[in-house]
Amino acid sequence: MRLSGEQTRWNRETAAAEGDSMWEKMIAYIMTHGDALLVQIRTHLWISLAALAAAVVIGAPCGYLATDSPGIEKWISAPFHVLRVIPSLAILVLLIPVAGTGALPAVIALTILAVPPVLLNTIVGFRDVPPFIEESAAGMGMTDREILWKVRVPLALPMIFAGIRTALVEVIASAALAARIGAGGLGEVIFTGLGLNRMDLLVLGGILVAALSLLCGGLFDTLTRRLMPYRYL
Amino acid sequence: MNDSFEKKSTGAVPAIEYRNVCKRFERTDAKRGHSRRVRKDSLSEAGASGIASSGQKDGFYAVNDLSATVRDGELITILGSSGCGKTTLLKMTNRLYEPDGGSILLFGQDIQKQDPVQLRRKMGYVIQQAGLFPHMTVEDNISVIPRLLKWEPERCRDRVTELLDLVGLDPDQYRSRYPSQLSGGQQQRVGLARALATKPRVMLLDEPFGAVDAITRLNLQNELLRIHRETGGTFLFVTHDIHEAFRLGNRVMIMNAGRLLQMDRPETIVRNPADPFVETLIRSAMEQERFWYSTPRE
Repeated sequence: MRLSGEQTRWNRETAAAEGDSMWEKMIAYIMTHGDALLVQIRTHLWISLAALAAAVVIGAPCGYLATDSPGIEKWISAPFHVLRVIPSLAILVLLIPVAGTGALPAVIALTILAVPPVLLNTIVGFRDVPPFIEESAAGMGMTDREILWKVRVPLALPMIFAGIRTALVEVIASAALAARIGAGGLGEVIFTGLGLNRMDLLVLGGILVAALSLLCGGLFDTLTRRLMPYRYL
Repeated sequence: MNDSFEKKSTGAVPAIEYRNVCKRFERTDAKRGHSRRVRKDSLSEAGASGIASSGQKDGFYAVNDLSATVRDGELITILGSSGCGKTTLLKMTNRLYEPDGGSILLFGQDIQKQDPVQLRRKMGYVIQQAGLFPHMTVEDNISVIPRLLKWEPERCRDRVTELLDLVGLDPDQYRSRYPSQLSGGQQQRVGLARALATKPRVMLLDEPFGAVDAITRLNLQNELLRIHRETGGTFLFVTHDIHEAFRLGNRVMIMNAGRLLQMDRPETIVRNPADPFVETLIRSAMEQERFWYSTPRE
């Protein structure tokens, strides 16, 4: 009897699941599900980076505004602190009536998670620009706008980037939850492992998420070094 | 030297004229942006020296009814202890502070009627911490204003070379360094070069050598005298070091508690102190010197 492709795969998987060690099972899973894994990694990255970009777009300008007028700082940062305390999973579920399922609510929940580090580091970054450097810039005859873009922003940037890096690692790790509401990503591997009670899939998913997180962190560090050579003399 | 400042036949028009200038700080003074921080900074400095609030409960005059005339091409040192208003006076000259009374004329023009940014670009400004931008190389630091003025890149580069030569730093060796790779004295030299970039006719120097060691300071003082000679600009030099003030200044302004006590050539001040405070100042300086002459050396 000829087996269809689907059946062959199922058989191979079952065989792997029953006999071999966990590493062998994991390798077998990678061999058989390579394409699916690649799609999951891509989705995972896409969701994470979209959330991160949104967090930077929201967090950095808000951080700047908060620095300029200390009175409104708590009004800007408090809501995000409150939102961050709510577990991401709860936010995902709460968002279903509003944003439905899929990628959008996942990106929204991750954005909420990523804004605080970006926001807080932006505030600290701008606040830590030495006043005498700003004064010397003003005394040379730079306009307020020139001081902002040529002095204050570049000097706050290392701190802002540190915040973005924190957010990046956090978001990639948490994006595994997105699979819960059908957004895809590496969380699918983990949740499948949970559902089938297969330790190999749980570990594989965990390792892939961690590796992705570390890799992105490393790439980001390289970018930082390129952009701010003076910090690494 | 080719590098001289554009000297115009201004005739008898003084470079800077202070007319009954007053500046009052309120302790509750809170403004937005960097001006707020600048203000707070000098307020605490002045407050720390224990100047009694003159008049109202919460404020004091950092500069009180001060009139003085600075001739074109002079090197004036402004001497006083911290909190006497000398830095405030300097910052009013380039409108980092606005006076509360009186007026300041630059080559006969009231500075209050000029755009602050344009005014500041006509003046060099050097502060104690040098204030170099840490994220820019020496070359970029020096050419900040030329680039904002849209000079050709080549002209910027030539000017940087010229200026580094002027302040005694080898252009090839230093132009692409970052400020953190320079010693304190070298940073001050770059700060000086940056302030000189657009050939300003007036230079404002706020204790530029306050944070460097004695030997470096002596070298820098000599360089400054040479640069002043070569450029022929008008220099205002704030210091709390009486030796520095009397050594560098064509004339010395002595300030205390916001008032100008005496403004004259160093020799004249030593011979005829106009005020008990000035006399005390000179006596204390001589007292300090005595140690060196009374200690026998083999």
